[in-house]
Parts: sequence; C-alpha cells; structure tokens
Amino acid sequence: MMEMRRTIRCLAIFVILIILFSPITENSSGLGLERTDQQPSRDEFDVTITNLTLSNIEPKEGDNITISVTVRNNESFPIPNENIPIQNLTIRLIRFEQNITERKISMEAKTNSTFEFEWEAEGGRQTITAFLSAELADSKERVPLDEMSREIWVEPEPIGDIYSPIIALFLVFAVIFGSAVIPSIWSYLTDRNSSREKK
Amino acid sequence: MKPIREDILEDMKNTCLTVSFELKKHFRMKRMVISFALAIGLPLIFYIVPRIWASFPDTAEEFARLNLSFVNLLIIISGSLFAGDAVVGEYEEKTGLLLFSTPQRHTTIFIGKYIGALVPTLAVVSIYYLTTSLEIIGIYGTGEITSEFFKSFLIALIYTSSAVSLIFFFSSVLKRKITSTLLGFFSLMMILPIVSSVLQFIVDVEPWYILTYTEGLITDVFVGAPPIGGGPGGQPGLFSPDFYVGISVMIIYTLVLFFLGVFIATRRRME
Repeated sequence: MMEMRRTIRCLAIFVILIILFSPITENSSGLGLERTDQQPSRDEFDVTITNLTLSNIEPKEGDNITISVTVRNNESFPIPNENIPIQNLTIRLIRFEQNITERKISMEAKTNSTFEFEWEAEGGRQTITAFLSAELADSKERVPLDEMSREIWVEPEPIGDIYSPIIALFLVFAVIFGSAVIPSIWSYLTDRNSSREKK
Repeated sequence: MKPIREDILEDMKNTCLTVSFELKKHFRMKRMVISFALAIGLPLIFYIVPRIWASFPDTAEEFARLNLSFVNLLIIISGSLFAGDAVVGEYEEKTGLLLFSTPQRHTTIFIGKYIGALVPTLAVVSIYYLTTSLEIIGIYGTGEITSEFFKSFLIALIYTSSAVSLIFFFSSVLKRKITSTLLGFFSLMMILPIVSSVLQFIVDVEPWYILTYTEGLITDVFVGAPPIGGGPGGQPGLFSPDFYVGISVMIIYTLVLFFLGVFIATRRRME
C-alpha cells in the first residue's frame, strides 16, 4: 500500500513538472514567435564565413591591404528581416585583440556576399581575424555566428640606423676619457695667465 | 711650470693607474666572477629550458627579443656592484685619507673610478650578448645574426654607461655604501619604472625623459618579433621610445650625471 502511494506521488510530481515546463519546450525561442520553417531558433542560424583573403600576401609596413571576407547565408530568409529574431549582422576585423574595423552587413537568402575592408599594414607577424556576429532582437545580446583567421608576415620598417649608436658611444667614451686631461689643460691655461699678469 | 704635454701624460697615467687598481679590487672581491657567471648563466636559461621542456621560438628575432629583455636586469645588478661604492667607499672606510693625500689630481682619481666601474659592466653586457649570439647561431644558424642584434648591443652599451653614471652620482652624493648601492639599484629597478608606468597608464603622457623608459629600445629594435607585455598586467606599454630621442636621453644622463658626480666628489671633504 505504502509502495503504491509513493509511486502515485512520484507520478503526480512528474506530471506536474511536465505541465509546468511544457510552454518552454513548445516555444523554445522564448520570443513569442511561433516556429516555422522560415524562422529558426537563435541557435540555428546558418550564416558562415566561407573565405578570408588579403590583397597582398607579402606586404611592407604601411601598405594598404584590402581584406575580403566572404559570407554565406544558407538561410531561406534575407538578413536583416523584421520577422526573424536576429538583427544587426556585423563583421568585425581584429588584430591582436585590437579592433581594425567593424561593419553592419545585409545578406540575401541563399547567397554568398564578399565584403571588402581597407587596412594599413603594421609590421611583424599579424593575425587577422574576422568575426561574424548578430544581435538578438529581444535582449540586444550579441551572439557570435562564425570566425576565421589568417596569419600574415608584414615586412617591418627598421627602427633607427646602426651609425647613430656607434657615434653616440664614441662621443660618450671620448668625453669621459677626454675629461681626464681637462684639469691639466685648465691648470696650464690658468698658470700661464697668472705668470703673464706677474710679468 | 711643467710642460702641458707632460702634465697630460701624467694625468692619463694616473687615471689608468686608478682604473687598474679598481679592476683589481673588483676581481679580488669576486664581483667580476659573480657578474660574469650571471652574464653566462642568465642567457643559458633561455637555451636549456626550451631545449628540455618546450620548443624554441619560431624566429631568431623572437628568441633574441625574449632573451635580451632581461639584459637590463644584469646591467642594473652589475652597475650597482661595480659603481655603488666607487666614491662613497673611500669616505666611509676612511681609505680616502691615504688616497687623497697622494700627488695625484682628485679628478683623475674619480674619473679613474668611474671608468673602473664602467669597463667591467660593459664587459658583463658584452659577455651576455656573446652568449646569446652563440645560442642564436646554434639554434638558427649564422645568418640570423642581423644588424638589429648589433644595434641592440650598441644601445645596451649606451644604456649601461647611463646606468653606471646614475649609480656613480649616488655614490658621490650619499654617505653610506649600502644606501648608495640600494638607491642606485632600486631607482633603476623600481622607482623610475614605476614613475614611467604611472605617467604612461594614468597620466597618459609619454615619459621620454625617464632613463628606464628609453631602455625599451634594447628590444624594440627587433621589429619583426611581437611585443612582450611590459606594462601593468603584462600589457605592452602605451608608448614606445623614439630611437633618436632615446639615444639622446641616454647620452645626456651619462654625461650630466658623470660630470656632476665627479664635481661633487672632488668638492667633498673627509669628515
């Protein structure tokens, strides 16, 4: 008897839990939108970066490089679109965690689009990363969709020249070693002046 | 009156005599052995540790930059060792009573003492660079010793002379050996870098006139290697020293502090 009551109680709790959580499972987007084929949930956007290319792969510091980012929209709806839960599709280019540039883009359904960005190359080994992200319509939270990186070697301009430190070092040593004989020259000059005055 | 030529030769001879005496003193006190051992041991860490537990950086420039970012530490240590007691020691230990009563000019004594501190410090830096260059040749080949490496070496030598001048100046001004050595060490190790960081990160001003800020040129000349985090939180500094301004600042520090140190030391009297 006790065993049966416990089983019934467990079943009742289970049923109550199902009833309580049923609205979430039915509408997991939580945005008040009914799921249709054209409006997927926030996790299901199929927008990706398919290519990241640089106009010059052996640039020198200061060269202007065109960075091309190709984005593929595999969805059956265009972006931006008022009926979908994301907006402000953005490409952000970064280098060593520093923003190079950022641009809002729009995409037609089932198409590839290439976006070009200008960048003045900085010397050394550089990693250029393109981030594709969008903003959730309800919370304005930015969600990452895809990213792609390219590494590039930018021939740096040399700092200074080799002759300046050589001259500087020579100057320092000449003054320091030369200062050892300054007192004798000084005393010679002052003695000569005083002996002239006596005469 | 002695002919000027004889006078000059005598001054030079006396300066050389003081330099050789200072060098012998440093050798006798095992300062040379300690600093030379550090000059060989410190760069060897950058060779042995990656050889056993990890891999070497991709390029020789990266390796040199990483290795030479610690040369300033050695400059400060050896500069404090050799120049910290150069002048003040004579007054504190009263050995000046014997030394200053000789017919030698006081200026030649102090200039000799300065050179006696500068020469071993320059030797220590040269040994550090020699060890690093041998490592680079061993890992990456002879062709990887670039003009940037020589540039860095020359800048390190100029920085060494300015660091020695600063410590020599403290040695001329202060009354205790320990105070002058510690003040010289900490001003280059902590005080000036803190002032430089505060100016950079809080006031947002480039501290081009601070000696330790210009020291960044030693590794900055390796333009091909990525910057090593130097500021608070390991972030690279907001500014980087200009090559020509940096060298000029080092020269000014060297000469002004050297002349001031010699001037104050010659005016100083035994108590």
